[in-house]
Amino acid sequence: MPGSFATSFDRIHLRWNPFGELDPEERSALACVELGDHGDFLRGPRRVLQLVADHGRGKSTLLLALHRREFGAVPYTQLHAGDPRPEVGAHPVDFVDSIENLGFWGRRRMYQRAQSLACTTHRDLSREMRWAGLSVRTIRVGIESRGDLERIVHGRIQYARTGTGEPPALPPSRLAELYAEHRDDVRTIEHQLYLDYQRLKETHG
Amino acid sequence: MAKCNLSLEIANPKEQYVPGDTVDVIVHVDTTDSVQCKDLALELGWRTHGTGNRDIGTALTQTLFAGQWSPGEDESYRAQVTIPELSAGFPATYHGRHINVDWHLQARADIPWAIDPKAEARIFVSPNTQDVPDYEYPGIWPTEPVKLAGNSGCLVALMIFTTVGGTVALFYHPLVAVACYVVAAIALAFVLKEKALRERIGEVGFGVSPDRPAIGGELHGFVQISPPGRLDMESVTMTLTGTEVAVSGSGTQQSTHRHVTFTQSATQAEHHTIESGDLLELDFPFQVPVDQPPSFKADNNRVEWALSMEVTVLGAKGLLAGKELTVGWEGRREN
Repeated sequence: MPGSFATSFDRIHLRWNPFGELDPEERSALACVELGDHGDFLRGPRRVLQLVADHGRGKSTLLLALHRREFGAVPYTQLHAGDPRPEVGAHPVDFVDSIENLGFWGRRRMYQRAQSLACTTHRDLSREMRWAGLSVRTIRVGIESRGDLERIVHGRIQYARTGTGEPPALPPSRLAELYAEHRDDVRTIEHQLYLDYQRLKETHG
Repeated sequence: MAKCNLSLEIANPKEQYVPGDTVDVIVHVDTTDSVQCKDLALELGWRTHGTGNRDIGTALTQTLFAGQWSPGEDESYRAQVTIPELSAGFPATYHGRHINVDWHLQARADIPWAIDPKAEARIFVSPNTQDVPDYEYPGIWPTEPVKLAGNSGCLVALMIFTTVGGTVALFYHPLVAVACYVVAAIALAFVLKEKALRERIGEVGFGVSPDRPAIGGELHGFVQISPPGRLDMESVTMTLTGTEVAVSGSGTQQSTHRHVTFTQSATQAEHHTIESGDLLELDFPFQVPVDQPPSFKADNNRVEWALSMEVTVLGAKGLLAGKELTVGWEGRREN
């Protein structure tokens, strides 16, 4: 297969498409999130921090950032539908992504055993968490302005730069248009931007 | 400021490296403080990027140094790295729409109780294109009997669903039950029609040669049809398709992104009549373009190749059969 970096994103001064999928380490490093005092909150006894949002709003990114930046030594569990209940309680805090993939009794057992818990969920589970005797902090996750979106986009482009020149910029109206259409659905916006940058790669040079 | 900084230099830079090439690497280390290094490792590997979750592969890892660095030291470590033969586990550099594969050389110093400093350089790895052999026409056509498929699978499911639903509805809503039975009867009629069509077409053989086609090489799809009686054909169409498939997210948040990188169709036997007892033999030659990726399969990213066939009898809808192909850099026959 012929080719070289001269036929790839390098010619628009990017190592790759800035809006492709990131690995957890990169997601955590690039997350434009405010961790506030969530770490201190979780260090207290019998606490639960639930991050609530619909798909693609950034709750897993916030959970990952909190984990990597403040609790790197404790396990992080990504739960899928049908997964067995993870073992919790051996660490001061347990991180569980998509806790609603466990049934009610599985979650209840987890609330009873965990010392403190940070989790993401699509629906508010605070009532059952309180019944289990936990102090609950609920965070509704999502970008709040076009400025937040611009920061995310800028960070992704900076991370993908080769440093050999200036990557082509999107028209300012494009982000406004995407934000107006998709609001805080960052995943959908990133996918649209991925396609935009694929086109930019094909049209430049 | 970090106590230790790494940079990676390639002493013999080339625009492209091919399997067997040696890359001369120099890892520079400069320290501002005393640093205990458990392992200064050099890795040659690849990783995907694109809309799918990341996949990675490591071709080799070697330790360049372990020990103590003193403040103000500026050390260099040389290593030679050989590019491995390309295979399903070691894909060439590829830049597509949803899937990209890039190779890298990465130096990483394992420093206890600190963020490990690292340095990286990307390299472009290409195949040895001169390896593509000439096509060898098979002495015997490598066809195997196939069962042509329409949509009777879905119709059978619909039939079962409506029959069961109709039987339950019989006790509550007789009119709904009648409607269900009518739908089941229509589905049954279509299933029987498709079965009759398959019987009219008779035995169908389908094959491909070589078993493992090569990028830039030739491949042939073969079809043999021997109907039990006279058969008026509309056409036989064969399609070669290459598709990128990238999976992002996981569980309920999983999405699959597909992009057809290549498709080419050829049609033969248009308005052709096969007489009773005759055998229709069709040879469809294809050329896999050199700018296409070979088959690739990682956990979240893959490039799939397939050859599909549609047999259409005059006045009826087409029936299908398909084969997955493994397209590689070399056109070896695997016996």
